[in-house]
Amino acid sequence: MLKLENRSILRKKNSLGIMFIYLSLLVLVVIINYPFFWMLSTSLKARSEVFKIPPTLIPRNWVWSNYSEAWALADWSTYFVNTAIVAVIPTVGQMFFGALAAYAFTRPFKGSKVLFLMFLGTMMIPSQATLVPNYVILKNLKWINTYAGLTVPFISSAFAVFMLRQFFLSVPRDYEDAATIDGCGPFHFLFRILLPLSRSALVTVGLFAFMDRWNDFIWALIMTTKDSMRTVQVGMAVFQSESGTEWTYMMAAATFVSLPVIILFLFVQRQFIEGVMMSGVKG
Amino acid sequence: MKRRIVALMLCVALLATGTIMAQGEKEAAAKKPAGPITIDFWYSIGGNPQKATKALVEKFNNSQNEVYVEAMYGGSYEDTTKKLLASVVAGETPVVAHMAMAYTAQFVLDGYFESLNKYFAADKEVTEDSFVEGLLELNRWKGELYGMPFNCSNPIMFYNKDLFRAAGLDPNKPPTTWDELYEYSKKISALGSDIYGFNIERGSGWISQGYTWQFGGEWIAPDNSTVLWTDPAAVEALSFMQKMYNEGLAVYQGGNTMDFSGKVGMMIRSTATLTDTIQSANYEVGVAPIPYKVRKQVPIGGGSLYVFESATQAEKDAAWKFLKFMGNKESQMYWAEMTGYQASSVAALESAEMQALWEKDARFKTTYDQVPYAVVEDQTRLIPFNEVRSIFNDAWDSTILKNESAAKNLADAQVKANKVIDQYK
Amino acid sequence: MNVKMKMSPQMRKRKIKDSLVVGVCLAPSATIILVFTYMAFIFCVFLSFNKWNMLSPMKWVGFANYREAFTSPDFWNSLKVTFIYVIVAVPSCVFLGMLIGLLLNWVTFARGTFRLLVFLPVITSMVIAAIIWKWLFDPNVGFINYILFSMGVQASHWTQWLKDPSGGALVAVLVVGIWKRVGYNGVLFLAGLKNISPTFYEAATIDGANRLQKFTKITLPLLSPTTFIITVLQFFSAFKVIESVLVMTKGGPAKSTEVLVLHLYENAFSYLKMGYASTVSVVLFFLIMFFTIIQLALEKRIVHYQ
Repeated sequence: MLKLENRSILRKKNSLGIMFIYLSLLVLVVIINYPFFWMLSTSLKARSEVFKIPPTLIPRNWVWSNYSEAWALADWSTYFVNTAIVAVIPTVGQMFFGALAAYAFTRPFKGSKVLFLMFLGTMMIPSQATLVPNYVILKNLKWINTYAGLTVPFISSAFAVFMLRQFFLSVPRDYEDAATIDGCGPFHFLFRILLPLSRSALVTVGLFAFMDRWNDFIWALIMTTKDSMRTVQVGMAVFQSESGTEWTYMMAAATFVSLPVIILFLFVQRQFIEGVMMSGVKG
Repeated sequence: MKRRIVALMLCVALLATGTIMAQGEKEAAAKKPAGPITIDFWYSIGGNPQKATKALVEKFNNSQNEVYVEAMYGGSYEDTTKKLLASVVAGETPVVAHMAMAYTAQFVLDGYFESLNKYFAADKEVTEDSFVEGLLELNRWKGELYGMPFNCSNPIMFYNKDLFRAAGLDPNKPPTTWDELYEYSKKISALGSDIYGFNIERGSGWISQGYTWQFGGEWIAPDNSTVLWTDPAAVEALSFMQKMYNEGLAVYQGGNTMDFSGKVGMMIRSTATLTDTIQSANYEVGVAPIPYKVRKQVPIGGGSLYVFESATQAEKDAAWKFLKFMGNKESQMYWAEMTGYQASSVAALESAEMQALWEKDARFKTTYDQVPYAVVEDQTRLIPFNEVRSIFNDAWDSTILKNESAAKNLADAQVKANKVIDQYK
Repeated sequence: MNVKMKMSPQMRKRKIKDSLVVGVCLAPSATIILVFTYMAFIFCVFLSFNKWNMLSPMKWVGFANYREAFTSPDFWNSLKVTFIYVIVAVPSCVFLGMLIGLLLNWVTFARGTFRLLVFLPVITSMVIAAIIWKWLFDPNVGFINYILFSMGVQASHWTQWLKDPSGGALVAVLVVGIWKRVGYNGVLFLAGLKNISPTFYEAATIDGANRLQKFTKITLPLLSPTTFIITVLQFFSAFKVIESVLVMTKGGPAKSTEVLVLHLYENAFSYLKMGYASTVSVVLFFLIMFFTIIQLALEKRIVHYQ
């Protein structure tokens, strides 16, 4: 459909228009990504070059050692393993439990509206306000300094339930009726028919969960008191101190910390777009 | 599909077991250390000082086998305080915490810290005289000493010798009074439209509090009943900076981005930034004491080590050993050399190593030259200090950035600050 | 009532089985949300009637915190700043997102690359992004002013950016907020655009509609469900903005960027006024709730379903 439309434009002798669209997109992309370009460039600069006026775009000498030195400054391998665990469990959890809850919300039951609103309500509560109460809850569960404390509170989220419900609603009701007549139970239907149909919606939910957890700072900082439980975002804090910010190291670390999420996005990109496409629109 | 789901479940199961096992391993690792007593120590300092802190803790752990210190970085001073608050609420505090004085008043008042008086009295190896004068006063409250000075600093003036030369100023004769600094700034900023004579520190509060002193004023009444920002000296200090800013002689900025650019002639920063500045600046860095107008006086900054009252006596005794180690001659010498912070131990100050360090680089001596007139910030005795200071900083921001009346803004701020103080009476 | 009475045992059995299924499905998510959000929030509501500094025992004060909030100029200021933020950020994010969605929809060459590049700000952490932007906005050594000045822009209070209390700082914070979010909206719009069946356009072409007509008569109405969802989600995030402000300005200069959540955060952890901070969070909850209900009510009037 897209190609068809474009071809018709081409036919309408409007190659200038197309040039213009590409150009504006290019400009947009450059502006949007300038901060990342700057991050990369700083991560390769010598300390004394960082504050040059006018700013240099390309480092004069490429100081690759910034990366190895930044890596040596903290226990990054532990942080990466922790962050992977802390990000993956909620990702899988939100896909799994989110799907279950979303499925329940597609079936009519008493109080479903109120309950759904309560789920949505969680998006209206600032997490900063619940930080201290949550610390007390985790302490009573003996979950401070454990992976449980860093993951279990996030194995389901209102956003995941919301997205998946929107998607499930777009699947025609007849499917389930037909399946039921064939003697297929609700869970069989969910796992064998509905979920395979919603692969991309699941990917979307998973990606957002992963991003959210990978980039979390404050929860991981407050709920752990041992270096061995720290995550990469908390690790980033070592480059800032009263004696100033160590810009080159910090930018080098920012680069390798962001890399896994970018790679993940590259992998799931197509399904992600499809996922949004199918869940986001139908009311 | 079924196979996929099974695979997924397997993944989850694997991860879960992995998690549990990893946890078990970690617990085992934590138990391994030989000492019978393990104490948790939360510190709040990154960068170079963090490396030095880690090294000192390791040295302490290796030096004996009665106490094992498990050090943990709590983030910035603000973040560590957040963690401590949460841990107090949950009743699980560490044994030793490293905090900035600005955040400690309420902890002291509510009795969360152990008084160190009896430890000093009982210990023959260390006395209060072992510490540089004034530093212990940071943590004294009604006669009781609540903390051991660890990373001590006072602000010093950094200047750009290259710009001095270009402006025809003697690079070895930095200004000693604020009026001189004004004249110097005029000459330096005449070098170009993007060049400034001075960087007025913004946002940190302790340095601008010092400006008030140097113009002859006080920040707060000795009994903490009221702030004294309507004092003519306080207004004059702010008006002076406002004038510098309006005439284009100065920038008004916090953080270090401008410091290293080579576009600013003089700036005031903590001595703790000395090493970093020398490494990062692309000009020849000169260092001098802070200028004065009416009286020479600079604030003492930094943080101290506190022992929590809730710890067991055995833990407290272990903590005392650790505190003593961190404050001893060798540790403080190492600390000063690695970071640029001021050494708190008199023995370190008088040691041959220190003389050698000054010989090698005289810039490391400036902060000690200021010790005789370095005074505890007024904050330690004031509970709502952060709130009051942010009111003060807002008044400075409005005056300089909006070009409003210094006298009026400070008067308004004083009313607002006193209202906050009254809530705590 | 009647229906229930007439239910056959078989139907009843199914009904029970049905509610069992619902229960089993909802239990894990509901537990998580109940424990880690609502239990914590109920505690917050309780705290809002207390004075508590987290170190001394708490003291019941009734509505004193609410009175304090509603008579405090700082609270009203942060409410005002938040409203300005929401009013500017939500429409601009939706509009720019739509623009990006339209552009992405046209593109056939290097589609994946463009999508990734537009989406990058969404996947990096706000703390890292805000640190970088803070530097770019630096009035003296920042890249933005460097470009502006070399384009001949005159220095003014606006070019002080994060140090301009009369608007510049808020603009800078808004720019970062919009930048972070716009790619997300763009991709959502892209998906929405792809869902519009081409037959509509074909029919319009036959009727001789021009491009603008096609856009206003077909694209916009058919995109309205997407626009609605994006607006609601955007609204949630704009009302709760804090990270970018915390890193870039800490609410300054002179409180000109102090949004509500930052006001709450500072009061809780810097000033140790947990009771007051909880009050602010309760007020914020009801504010967002109120506007969400309005939006949901408007949904039926504005949104057209395909």
